[in-house]
Amino acid sequence: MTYQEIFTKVSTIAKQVFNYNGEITEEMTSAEIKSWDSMNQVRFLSELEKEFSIKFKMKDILSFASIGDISRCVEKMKS
Amino acid sequence: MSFNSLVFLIFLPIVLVLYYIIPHKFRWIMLLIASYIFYAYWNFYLIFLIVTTTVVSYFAGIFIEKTKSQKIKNLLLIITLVVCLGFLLFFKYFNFLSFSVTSLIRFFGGGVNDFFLDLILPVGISFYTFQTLSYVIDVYRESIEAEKHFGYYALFVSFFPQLVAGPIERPENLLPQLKADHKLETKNLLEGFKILVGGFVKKIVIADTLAVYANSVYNAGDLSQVTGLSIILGTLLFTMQIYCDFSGYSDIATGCAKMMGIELMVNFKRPFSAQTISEFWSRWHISLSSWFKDYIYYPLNYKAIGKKHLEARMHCNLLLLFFISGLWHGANWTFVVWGLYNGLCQVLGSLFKKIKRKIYDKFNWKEKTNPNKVIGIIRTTAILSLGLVFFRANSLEDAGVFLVKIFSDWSFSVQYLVDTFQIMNMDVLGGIMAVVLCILVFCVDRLIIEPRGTIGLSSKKSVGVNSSYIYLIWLIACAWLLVISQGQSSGFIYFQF
Repeated sequence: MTYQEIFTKVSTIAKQVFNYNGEITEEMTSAEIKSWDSMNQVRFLSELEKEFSIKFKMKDILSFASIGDISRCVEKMKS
Repeated sequence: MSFNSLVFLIFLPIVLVLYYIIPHKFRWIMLLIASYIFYAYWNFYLIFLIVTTTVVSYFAGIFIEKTKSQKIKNLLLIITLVVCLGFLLFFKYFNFLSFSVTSLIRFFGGGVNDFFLDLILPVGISFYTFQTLSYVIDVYRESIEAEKHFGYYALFVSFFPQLVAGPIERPENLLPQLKADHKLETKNLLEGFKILVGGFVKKIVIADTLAVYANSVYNAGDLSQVTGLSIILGTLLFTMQIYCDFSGYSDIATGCAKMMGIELMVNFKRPFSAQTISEFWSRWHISLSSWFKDYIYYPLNYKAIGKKHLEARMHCNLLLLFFISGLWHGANWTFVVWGLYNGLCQVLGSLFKKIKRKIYDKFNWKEKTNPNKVIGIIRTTAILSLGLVFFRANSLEDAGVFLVKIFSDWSFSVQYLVDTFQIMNMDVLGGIMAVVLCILVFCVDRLIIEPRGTIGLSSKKSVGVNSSYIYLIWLIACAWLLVISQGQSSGFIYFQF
């Protein structure tokens, strides 16, 4: 799976979970998406784990700031 | 020493002069001594608690980083938690726990007497303990490197502006700034001074004045005389009082640090513009809310990912978080109930959010309209203020009486109004002054505190030649405050936490 494919899937899930209609970019953080709160972040990561069949490490989760960070982590885990 | 004492107004200029004349290499020594003097002014012996906490966490940090064994890392983290939290639990909660246990035994028919220890509550212990723990946990998580210089680390734990009532700083923000060589800059001095005086105005002029009315209601000798309206007004004024008292402290701390070229984190971001309870908690005492989120709430939630009933687990975690937050605020069941009330409001808010969205989608209503925002703000303030009845009441019984009266003790007679204002100890002039002071809070925040640029709200206004008149006004206000405040001001509420 290429990084672009991963990013597209992550963006689709982000749109669903955060109920966000605009375009998702790599640099986006919780500051840009209003409904990206602590609870939705957990729901978001939970959906990603299901979609990609992965298990995030606590250390990785705590370092997540942007959609790009999360996509890169998924890419690393899938490779 | 307290910020609102005369001795602090002598202490601060001396520290600032020494700070800028002493070479950068030796500044930490002066700041560390100054911080310990600042703390020792309350109780000299309690310095040993800070020193012990500092020594234990310093060596724990270094060894956690050095060792390769995960078991030893875990052990070192546990030792630090036991020592630091042990002090906190013993000094702050021993008598509360002892009383709760003996009351419970008596409730079930056991014959035990109360057992209390004559303990002094170390000022600010909850604040510096949490700051220390954030350092050790961050080193454990490998998100920061352990600090090797003992002097700078000790200063990080005890930096006097935020030592006793926050903001609870994070190592990655404060440590590098303590080490940096800050040159004397007029801009920093003036901006710091402006914020400092803004904080003093909030504390001495606003909080201490409003406290009189809130205290009259909550400390009334005969609760049966208290009217429903007086409780509502008293509670709203208490809401404003505690905001000014606490954010005022943070402003004074921020101002002091700014005068040394150090930026402390923003602790309050217009909390009363919040439209939901969860938004309020992301704007109020941010340094504590973010601490709870980063070190308790997130780890608990992330652990729940992949397990059954994720939603229910997240809601339980939220309740647990606010239970701890309530206890953090004070060793009394009133604080516990207040914490749980706020947690429950957020859980209900999160459940209603989905239903609300469905209703809005179905009828194609717009959510973000101005009337909706105003309703949201009023609703949030009302719910929060209702919870503050538990926070302010002297006991759970009192809180119960007040809550019943809020909803039942009403009348539309002139005598009722007269009684209400008599209970509040408020005359016509006092009433006008209370309203003016509440408006003044927003003026001070918007014009004086926020334009420091780091709050991300109104960074357009910065210090320029044109605004120099503001300093003149503040200098006069400062002098006036000095004159009127002597012997009148009371302690900061958050010192006891």
